[in-house]
Amino acid sequence: MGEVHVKALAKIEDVEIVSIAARTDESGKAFAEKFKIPFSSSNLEACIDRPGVDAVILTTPSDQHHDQTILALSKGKHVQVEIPMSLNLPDAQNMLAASKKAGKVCMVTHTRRFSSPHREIRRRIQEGTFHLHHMVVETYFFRRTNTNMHGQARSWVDNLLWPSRLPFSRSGPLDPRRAELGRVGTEGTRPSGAQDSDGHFGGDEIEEGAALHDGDVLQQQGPVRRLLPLHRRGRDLQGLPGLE
Amino acid sequence: MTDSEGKDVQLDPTLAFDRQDIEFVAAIREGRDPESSAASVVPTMVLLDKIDKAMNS
Repeated sequence: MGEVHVKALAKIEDVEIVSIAARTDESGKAFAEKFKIPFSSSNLEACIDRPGVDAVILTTPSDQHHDQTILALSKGKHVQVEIPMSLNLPDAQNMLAASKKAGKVCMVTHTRRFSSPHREIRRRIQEGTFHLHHMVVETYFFRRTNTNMHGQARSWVDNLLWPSRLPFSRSGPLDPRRAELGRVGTEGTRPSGAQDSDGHFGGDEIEEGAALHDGDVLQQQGPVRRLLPLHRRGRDLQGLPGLE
Repeated sequence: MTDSEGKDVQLDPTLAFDRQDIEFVAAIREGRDPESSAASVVPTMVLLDKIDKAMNS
């Protein structure tokens, strides 16, 4: 997502990208070279502290959003942070309070709110010409590889793209007590007990992570073999061992 | 996008990703809350928290 922002910001007048933080020094250097960014580091704080930084855009793993947002706001920077803004309500409330205290913008990257079709529907609802009678929303988990939207391997698993209670939803090491539920890696599997008679939420072998996207924004990878309508998730997930 | 009669709906061609960062920069420059501000997302987090508690209690 960093690349998406770099390209979007390049089209806006008088915006300069001062620094780029990456997971490793090597990947930071490569990114900085590609987009002619003067400073890169694997240390986020060092990037925020560079002279001339007014705002920070965080496209980091979900469980880091809260701490990093608080860090940037506490240094007087405006923040745009990826979804989900946090993994729980108290963290979200902290982030909002920190933004108010700093008097800085804290924006959440809910890209859908900025897409033309969504805006048009919203406009019609506000105008009173669109009346909702019935809405069908289905979100499918399609991916069979743990890759980002550019098809590159991810160093973490985006918990928005997976049922969020599974143990690989965090960027840190897996909790060994729950590791039997699923593993991130070349032999990652879904729990075998998760499959119901309709074949929902398969217990089949998957290569490396799996994930979803609403099809209109991001590509799907691999064959679509199982579909999991969103409205069924609650029921399906309840059958999973280890879920609380 | 097409409507229920299959007719094309004319849409602004600006990409969502572009419009999003335009809004971020504009909100900073104008000293206002952006669309999709943290403040506008927290009510949804409150709702999710209630659902989470209802499902897991």
